[in-house]
Amino acid sequence: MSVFEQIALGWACVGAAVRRMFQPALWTPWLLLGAVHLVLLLMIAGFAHPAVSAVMAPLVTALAGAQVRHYPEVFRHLPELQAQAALIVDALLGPLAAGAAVALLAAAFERGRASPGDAIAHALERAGALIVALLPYTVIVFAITFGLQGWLVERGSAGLTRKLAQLAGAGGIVVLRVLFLYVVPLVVLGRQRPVEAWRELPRMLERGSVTAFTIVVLVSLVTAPFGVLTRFAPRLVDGGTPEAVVGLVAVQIAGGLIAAFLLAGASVLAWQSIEIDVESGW
Amino acid sequence: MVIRRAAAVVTLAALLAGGCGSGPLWARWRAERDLWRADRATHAIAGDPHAAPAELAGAAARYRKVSEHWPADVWVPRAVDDSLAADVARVSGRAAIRSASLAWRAGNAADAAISFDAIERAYAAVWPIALEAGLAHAAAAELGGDSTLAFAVRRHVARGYPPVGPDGSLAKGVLDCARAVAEAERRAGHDAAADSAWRAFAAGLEAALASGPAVDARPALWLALAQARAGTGAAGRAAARAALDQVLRDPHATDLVGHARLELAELALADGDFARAVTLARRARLALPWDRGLDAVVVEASAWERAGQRDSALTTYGRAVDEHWAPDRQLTRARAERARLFEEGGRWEEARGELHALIAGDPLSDWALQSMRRLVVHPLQRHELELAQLELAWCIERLDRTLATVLDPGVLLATRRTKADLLLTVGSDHRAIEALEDLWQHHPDTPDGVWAAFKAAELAEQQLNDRTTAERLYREVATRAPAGGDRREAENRRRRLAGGG
Repeated sequence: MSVFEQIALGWACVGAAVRRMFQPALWTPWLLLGAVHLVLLLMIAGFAHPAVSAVMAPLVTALAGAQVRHYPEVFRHLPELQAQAALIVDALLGPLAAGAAVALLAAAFERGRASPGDAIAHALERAGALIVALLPYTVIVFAITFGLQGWLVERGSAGLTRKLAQLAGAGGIVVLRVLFLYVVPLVVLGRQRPVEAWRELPRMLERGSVTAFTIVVLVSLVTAPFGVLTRFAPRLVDGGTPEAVVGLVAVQIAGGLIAAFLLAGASVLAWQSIEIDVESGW
Repeated sequence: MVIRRAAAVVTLAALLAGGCGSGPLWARWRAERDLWRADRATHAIAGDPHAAPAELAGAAARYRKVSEHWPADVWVPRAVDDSLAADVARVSGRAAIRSASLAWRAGNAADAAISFDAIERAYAAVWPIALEAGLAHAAAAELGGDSTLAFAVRRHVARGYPPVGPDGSLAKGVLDCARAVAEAERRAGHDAAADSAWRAFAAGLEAALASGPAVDARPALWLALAQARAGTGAAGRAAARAALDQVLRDPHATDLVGHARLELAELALADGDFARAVTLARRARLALPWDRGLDAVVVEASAWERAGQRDSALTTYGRAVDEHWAPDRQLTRARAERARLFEEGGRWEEARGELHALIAGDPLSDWALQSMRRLVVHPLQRHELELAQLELAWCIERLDRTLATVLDPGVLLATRRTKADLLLTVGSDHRAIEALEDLWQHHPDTPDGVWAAFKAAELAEQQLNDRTTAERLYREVATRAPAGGDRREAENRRRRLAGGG
């Protein structure tokens, strides 16, 4: 496929995934993951409540310092706290949700209907392979999110350097998403083991890297406004409605789920197209 | 089976509701939330010097509700061995203090005074809060114009509280009270009482230092001890130097080295050792934070001035002016000092230029308003009436521009007062009465406003023979002035005018 064909394919894949967004059953894996994120968000915001404080108070202190335990500081830091805690949830449950979603969407694209129960069962069968296959992605995102900034702060880098590193980190995560876009379809639909999936990646990217890039960029553009929302957190706190930050972060979580849905749907179609492309010997 | 599941759900719910975490942490969170919300709700009222008594009373009630919801008799006993409970007690105490301060402003001074005393007693075990109550009591009395009570409360704080907090750090509020008491006693000519206040504070610090305080708290204690010893006059200066040497030798005193050198420079200045004062002040300036740098400049320039080297003093201030690239309080102060030196040295034209530059650079500051007074008064004193009128016109035009563009109530009050003062100075009675009436109409609940009304009435009656205006003003003061004494005085004058008429 030429570059333009790949771009067109990426565009079409995202368009098809957008059209599937209005089928509630397809949301099941992401809604389950979203529910876990929401519970985590509420536990962070309500870290001082005796029901959760034994676990959550030390956690938020470790992530943001002792000052965050005073009202209303936790709301000022809530977006970062949630993002950091969500990495752990995403590392453990994200691959399962992605696997179930890919199975569900593939069934929907092929047969027009899908059973969430079957898809989740299928993803659970492949749970180990999914988690291991996405492990390099998870580890590198961890390193960028936690390690890079911490290292720069420790070595006393200037604010501009840290900002540039943050931008480079965001760019790096986009590249990672492109590199790992086909991993879940390879494991779930191609029934490959993690090592086989990684070996297959260069071949997939050789034929569909531009498609993958187009998909990731389009989805990032669609969901970018959700990421900007959290910048309003300090304003909400200073404006006298700190609790509204919970709603703001919940909307951001919803944005993340929409992005994940679109990436899963588009990756299924792109993978199928490239597989056909390969099998037909083009 | 269903019953078993229901029992499991109920047990889980009970565990979640009861929790296995920290109750005091949750209590502190909610207490801080209550205080924060009360702060938010009353912020505009508390910051408004013209807030109506009913609004202030409402804000006070809101804070009282917080302190009652987290009562001292529950949380202060727990504070002894639980830092989270101590935080709840602090929140509760702060709410009570804010309630009492607002109640005072609302006109309930007697009730508020009782409240402050009650807070001090109730929070004695969390003594930083008891101390805060004492300081707030003094501040409320000062704000209400009762300097005698403010002095009495500060003396009580200086005598009743240790100079070192529970964490071993300096209790700055106690130091400020000791200083205020000593200065007031000295102003009143009670040198023995002033020395006694400083000595009592110094004794407390010496005891704290002897008990081996935390290493990082030690330099501040030595510095405060030096200030206390220096406060007793010539007799204490040698001992003050010894304390400052301790600060300079302390490896943990990095942040206080500049302050210690500045104190040493002031001691040298007081001893008449001007050369040493200049050297020390220059070294202090290098070590002081930016916003304190001019204190060292003032000491250096004062040393030059007292040594008879006025030009060197001018150069010192000039250097400070040149080093500031943006207008700020430090630059304004340096300009004001330079203008004073020029004026005292008979170089009025240069002083005038400096005063104009100061006003242009920082037009809303007290220094600018003082400078306008100098611009008008100086030519008047030299009988240069035409020049005085020109300066007056320029100043009034600037003041009117401020009145038309600024919203800050404090600035507006000071501007109106300056305008009235300038017009009174040049004897422009009609315009002065207008300015005084304007001051009274806009600020009837302030001492300046009441003074303006009385002054305008006197001028109307005595200079313009306008008894109607005078009587109207006295009637207004008799009904609107906040202090009962002023209302009675105005009513008496009004009756005298009506009877005489």
